[in-house]
Amino acid sequence: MKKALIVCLLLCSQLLAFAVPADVLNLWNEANRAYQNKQYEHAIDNYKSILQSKFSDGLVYYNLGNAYYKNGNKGPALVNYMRALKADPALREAHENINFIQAQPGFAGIPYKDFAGSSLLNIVNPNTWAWLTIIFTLSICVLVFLKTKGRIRYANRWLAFSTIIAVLVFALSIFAYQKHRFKDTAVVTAANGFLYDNLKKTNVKLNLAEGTIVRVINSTHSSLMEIELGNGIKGWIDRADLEKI
Amino acid sequence: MRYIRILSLFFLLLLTAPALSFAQGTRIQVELSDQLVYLDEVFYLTYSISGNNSSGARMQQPKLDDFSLLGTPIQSTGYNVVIDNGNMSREMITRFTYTLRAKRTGTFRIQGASVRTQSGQTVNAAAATVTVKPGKRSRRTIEDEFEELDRRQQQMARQMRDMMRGMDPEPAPQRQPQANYEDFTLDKIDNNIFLKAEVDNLNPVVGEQVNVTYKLYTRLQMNMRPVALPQLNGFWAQDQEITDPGTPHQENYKGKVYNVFTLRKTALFPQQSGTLRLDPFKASGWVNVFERGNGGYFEQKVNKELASDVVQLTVAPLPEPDANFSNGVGNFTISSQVNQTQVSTDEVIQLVFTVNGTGNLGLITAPGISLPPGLSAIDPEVKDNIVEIMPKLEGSRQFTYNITADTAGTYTIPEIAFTYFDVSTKAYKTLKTQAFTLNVSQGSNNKPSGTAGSPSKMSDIHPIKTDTPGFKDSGNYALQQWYYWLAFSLPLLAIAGMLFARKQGRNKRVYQPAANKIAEKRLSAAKEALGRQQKTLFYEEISKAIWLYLSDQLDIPLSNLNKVSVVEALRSRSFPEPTIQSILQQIEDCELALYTPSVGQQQQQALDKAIGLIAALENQFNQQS
Repeated sequence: MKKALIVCLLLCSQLLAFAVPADVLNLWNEANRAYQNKQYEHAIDNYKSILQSKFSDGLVYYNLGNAYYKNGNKGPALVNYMRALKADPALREAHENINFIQAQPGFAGIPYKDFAGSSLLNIVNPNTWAWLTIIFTLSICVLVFLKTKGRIRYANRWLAFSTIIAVLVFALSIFAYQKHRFKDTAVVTAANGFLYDNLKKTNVKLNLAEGTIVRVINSTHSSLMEIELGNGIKGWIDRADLEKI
Repeated sequence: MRYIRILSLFFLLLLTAPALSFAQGTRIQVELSDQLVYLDEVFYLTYSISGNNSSGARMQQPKLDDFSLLGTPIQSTGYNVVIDNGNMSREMITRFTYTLRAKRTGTFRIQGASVRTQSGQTVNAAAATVTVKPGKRSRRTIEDEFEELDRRQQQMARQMRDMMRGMDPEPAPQRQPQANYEDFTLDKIDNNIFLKAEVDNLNPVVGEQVNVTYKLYTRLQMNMRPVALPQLNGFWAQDQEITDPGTPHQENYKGKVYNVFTLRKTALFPQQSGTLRLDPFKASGWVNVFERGNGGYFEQKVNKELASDVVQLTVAPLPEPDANFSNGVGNFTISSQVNQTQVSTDEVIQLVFTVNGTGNLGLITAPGISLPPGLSAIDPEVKDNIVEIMPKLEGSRQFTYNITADTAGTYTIPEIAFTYFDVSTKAYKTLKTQAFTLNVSQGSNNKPSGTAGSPSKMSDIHPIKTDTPGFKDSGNYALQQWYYWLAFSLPLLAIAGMLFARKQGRNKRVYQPAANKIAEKRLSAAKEALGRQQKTLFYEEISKAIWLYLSDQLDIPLSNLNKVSVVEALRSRSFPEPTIQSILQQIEDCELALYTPSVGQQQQQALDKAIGLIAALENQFNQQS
């Protein structure tokens, strides 16, 4: 009881520690108004101004992604949805919008299957996995207590079962967290990016449409990056054609 | 020796006049720095060997009995580009320069010089005639020459610096010997500053590369800027970037050394046959000339407009081409690639066709692909990548076809033929790519696969969120928060604590209350009977409790439960012998009490004894496990 209280107090203190200045709030409201009046470019500018100040939030990235999509920029839209998820993994709408954009008939990019779909990791968001871990750990704690008091039958079976579940859920929470950090993920933001065979740019393997989500393998070269596509093809692309999350 | 080398090179630059003919064989030409020299004056004799293999040629020295040879001949190799009457020649030139001083007066014919080419042929040089007069000019030693040359070099360097900065250089009256001013007068201005267009190929075929270089030649101080760039109609043109436009280089043209500024370098690809005109390049500005006045020459700044000559190119037509000629002229290789061969009808197949090589890449048209019925493609996207422009345009042109399949099935994209005109063999060549086989599976209603579930139900993206965000800097991940780890560690600590306490509790020797509790619990039925004064039931309950307890703890089935088996079981669990004896004693006491008629007080004693026995056993068992 006591520890729950402490956690609550600390959460509140964290929220109160950030006093948001009025101009940032004005930018936020103005951007939302512009978006609702279909002035998407103006909305983009305002959301970006918020992000340029030290204030950022998953919601700002999410709305910016929406504004970009409505403005016809699929690549930056996807970038910002992923940034939104990075900042706030519980933002289900950002996740669904990414899948929606990739499912559009006009989407020429190669769908990034790792992200979409109904894999185990995507059932709940990383935070839910994390808190589930705590719940299972607590249940182990209760079982141990009951066992010491001798008030439970088959205590060892229950203990083994719940320990396995807790470890599994903990591993899932770590994987989900890693996936939502988008460490080596990038999106093609140029209208038509070129995937080269090698560093000399002599042969273009593929044209990458805007919005293609790729994984960066090697970013040591000054002007080119080695990437891997959703379908496993690897190649080099101009840095300017990409935006990392 | 070192000085002589510098000196000779310098003169070589100043004095050679490559009035070359345009035959392809090796030629040797002789030049004298001066036809008329004074005794003891240093002069230079230069043989220029030009031709395709001049660098490998061997020079046979002339007879120089009447002259002292100062140092060994200086050899230099260069690459000369000369245009005369619209003909252009690019050749290797090797020069041998002899530094000489006459031993006596008279007129001498210097001959006997020859060159033997690598193929063994001997080419003789013409004789040079020099007249040596007795020393009228002030006697100049070679050291005086060095000083004079040093001074000139410095001046020239200064002048070039000034020119680069675009400011008026200081007047330099001693810049040239007095007699040379007449070369720089206004009426001779066209010899001293002019624009020139150099073309490396005046008779190309359609699509063949022609490199044009516009240059400004000057021997005067000047400031010029371009006013009209040539219109290149009828060509596909690619400009080469000029790396250092403000810096001149020196070039020998008709025996004079000029500062040459490169203004524009363009690779041209004629798009039609016939006579094509290259418009002039025009520039205007001011030029410093020298005018004769009272008592000598003075500098004068005049305005000047320059224009290069019009160059006429005679472009030959290509032979009658095939139907699928790509307009490519040059030397190419091709390749093609598809991004995937196992696709569904929802997906787009990208076919990339690449033309690599040298030639008129920008004019190559997309090859037609005859797709089988069921496959369709829109016009390809084109991307060029030019690696080099001069001397030959090199790079790649890429055509990307987005192909879609209407129905499932196996399709073959046929090979793509690419026909171009090979400049080196003057003939058409056709290259072919490989064919591709595609396996197309049925997809779901025209959408990319892998998108089952909620997104397909969405008709648009989710709307924006308008609630004020918290503006927290860091991510909201539970795993990143310290309170998560606190919440995580607390149950773990609790578990560890409980396990530890349990172990500690077992190690304690006497834990009376717990053991008593267990015993009292087991004897609760007996207690009830005691309270209700049911004597027989009371003793039965006590006996039952003891035996059941032993049966439970020692894992002895009830059918096999007797004192012997209990003692054996206790011994097998290595209970100390005195403990076993006391346990036996207590059991017997309890039995005795059971079968002995007694009053309430004795009953209470029997109950206490039984409780004591079970508690003692419980402690023993706890210690053991």
